[in-house]
Amino acid sequence: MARYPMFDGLKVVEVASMVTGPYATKLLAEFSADVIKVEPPDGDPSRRHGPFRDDKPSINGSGLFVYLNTNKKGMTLDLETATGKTILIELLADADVFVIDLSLEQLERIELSLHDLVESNPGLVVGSITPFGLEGPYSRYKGHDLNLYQTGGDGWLLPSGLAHELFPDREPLKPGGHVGDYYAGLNAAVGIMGALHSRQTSDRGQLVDLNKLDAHVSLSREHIMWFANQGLLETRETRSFAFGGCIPCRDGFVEIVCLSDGQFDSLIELLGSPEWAKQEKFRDINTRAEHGAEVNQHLKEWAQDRSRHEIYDEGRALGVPIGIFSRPGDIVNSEHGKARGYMVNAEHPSAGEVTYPRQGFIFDDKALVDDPAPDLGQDNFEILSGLGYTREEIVKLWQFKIT
Amino acid sequence: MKPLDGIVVCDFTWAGVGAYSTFLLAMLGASVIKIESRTTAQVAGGSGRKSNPVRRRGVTVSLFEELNAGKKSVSLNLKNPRGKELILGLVGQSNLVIENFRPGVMKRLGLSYDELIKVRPGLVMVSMSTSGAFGPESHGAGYAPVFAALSGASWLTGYQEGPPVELRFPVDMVSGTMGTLSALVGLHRQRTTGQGTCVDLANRETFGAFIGDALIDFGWNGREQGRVGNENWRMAPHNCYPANGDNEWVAIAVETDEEWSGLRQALGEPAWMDDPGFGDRYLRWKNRDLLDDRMTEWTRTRDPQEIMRVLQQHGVAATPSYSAMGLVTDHHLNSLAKFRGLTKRDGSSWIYFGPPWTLTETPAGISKPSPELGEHSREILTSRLGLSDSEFQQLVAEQAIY
Repeated sequence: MARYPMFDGLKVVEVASMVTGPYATKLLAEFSADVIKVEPPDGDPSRRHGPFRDDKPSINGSGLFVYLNTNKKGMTLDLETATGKTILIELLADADVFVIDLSLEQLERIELSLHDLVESNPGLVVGSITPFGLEGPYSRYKGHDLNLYQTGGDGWLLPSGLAHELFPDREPLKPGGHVGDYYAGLNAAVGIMGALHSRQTSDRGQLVDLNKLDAHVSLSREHIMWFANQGLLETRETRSFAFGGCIPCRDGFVEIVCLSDGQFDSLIELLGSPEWAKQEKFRDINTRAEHGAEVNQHLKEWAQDRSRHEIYDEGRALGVPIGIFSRPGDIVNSEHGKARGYMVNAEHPSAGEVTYPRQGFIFDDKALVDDPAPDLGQDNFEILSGLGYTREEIVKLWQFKIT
Repeated sequence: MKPLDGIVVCDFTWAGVGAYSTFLLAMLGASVIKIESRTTAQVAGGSGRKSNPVRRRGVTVSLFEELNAGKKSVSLNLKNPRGKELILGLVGQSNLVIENFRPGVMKRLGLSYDELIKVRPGLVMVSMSTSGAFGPESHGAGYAPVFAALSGASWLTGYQEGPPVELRFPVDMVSGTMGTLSALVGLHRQRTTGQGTCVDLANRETFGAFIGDALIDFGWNGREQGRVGNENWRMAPHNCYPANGDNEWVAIAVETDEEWSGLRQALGEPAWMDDPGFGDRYLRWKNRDLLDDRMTEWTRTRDPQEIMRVLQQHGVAATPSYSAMGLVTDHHLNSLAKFRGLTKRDGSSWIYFGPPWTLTETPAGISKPSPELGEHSREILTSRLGLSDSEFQQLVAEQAIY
């Protein structure tokens, strides 16, 4: 149960693969937009990503695909063919939103103009997702998740804290999984909603450039601000907390962030009000920061015999801003998550039972049951019939590998 | 015309998450009225009006300046009954109330959704907190690194042989963006049908949804995924390589055979690339450590900009790892005027990165710097609630407007 009846008849067409575009439309689908996902005949590459149940790969059983394409309909279409492109344009004739992640080169190759699409359907919102945008010197550059995270400015600062202390000279990192691409998708969904709001007053759609670089640079506002306005260059060192941060414990790690005197007092209470903490240098917020390394030495000694859950539960009760570094199992089995219905159990016709997280929001509307992600080409017949194609034509389109 | 022209937001947010969520709404054209009070405005944290020595090690600037640009500030004393009346009056004329106090605070202030819809039927309300409004851990306090750790994403971030990596400020932005999205969706329905809604957002869940596939892996295979540095499931080379200069790095990612052959040309067809160990995508992925060593030999003597130029000419995704200095001097971003300036009240200028999307017909943007505490109290309360000047003065004297 993770879908809410927020849109009534909003038609979204998606030509996008892997994470960013599909996540943007997944978010719209969770608000009950009618999303049609258009894939090439051999499928979105995320169908090969996995994970797969019992590590047995199958084209309809990839966890990443199943997760990102819940609540969508799916059709296959070879946009490199004239017929395939015609069908796409027919599909867009009464669409409200079109999310497309083809590069400028790909658009030119198939002779698809995004501006023309808005001209022929003036209400259409066209959301273009590319690495660097539709204009500017890098508009034809290639970029993957790793590139964008680094070029966007947050990567240069990863890791800070404990990992930086242990490995000061190693290469900068990107966050695990596809975090950057997801964020670009979330940012894109906001841009699309902005254009839908404009349509409320003007009835007109528009082209929206939702490139990933802009999304990523926006995440770096903090240190851009310091440099551009104060001349201070943030580094991995300066970004590390004076004390607290990632603290190893008996069975894992906890994150502790105490910024105020009150929070520090709570932390000291958690530690059993030890003698060392009574020293003058730890009482003042400024000198405490100067002696942060000593605070951490004491923290680490204290934490090494305790479990992550024990530290988290006691610290939280005392008001310490604290969390465990959750592993996948911690999240799936979390009592807090269960109380909030965080993990959704669903039955997928091909992939079987699957447990995945819902999105961060709970609306006070009645939640609807999720529709499973489409098998490859699952809705070809229904969608093509809707466009007026006959049974015979639909078979032919498949035989010619247009669908 | 901006997308949210005519939309009024009663903004109770503070710190990074909340301030960013309404910063985006302000960029989209909403009238964002920041409700503050002298009784609480000096809160510690990364983005309060006062900077924090623990966090910033002596740096005295605050992110407040940036994340509150384009908003108006009204200072009202919630503990004063007349102050609260004025707040309810403003809510009565708003489309959206948005806040990120600890769960329970709005209710204690008499500002729960149940109370607020009495004065504004059809109201949209968005609440954001570390762990959400209910559940056994909902009382827990947290900043971005805390909810990033709880989300599971930090566990998956780091060197293979190292500890998990705390994730910082960007995670505030992520959670704030989800707040903005929820608000926009709620407002969209309000504009269409008049119906309101209230939304409970848990920041750890917003960020945790970014690792859905790892959680499915646990369910299907019992696998606890760990850290793999910069590795990718289908690309090699795929890493940050050292470039010429101090702390200079370049990110290179090669996916297809075509890109590999572009790389080969760009590197001048060196003999090592003909090694059968790099003969196809699978082999390159398998031998990625060796490949990284070879790539490093080539990159370490070259300038990151030059590497980008040469490899991109050959169709290979190569880009510098940028510090803030790299970003603000970047040729592409500057040619598109992505960095913008605002004039502050003292006449100085404030440089900031503009909207993270380009709406070609109804562009987003802001024109005013962040407000002084209570700067717009008189303007808002007289124009929106019809207070006379003498009533206004009286309420200031009573510290209802405070």
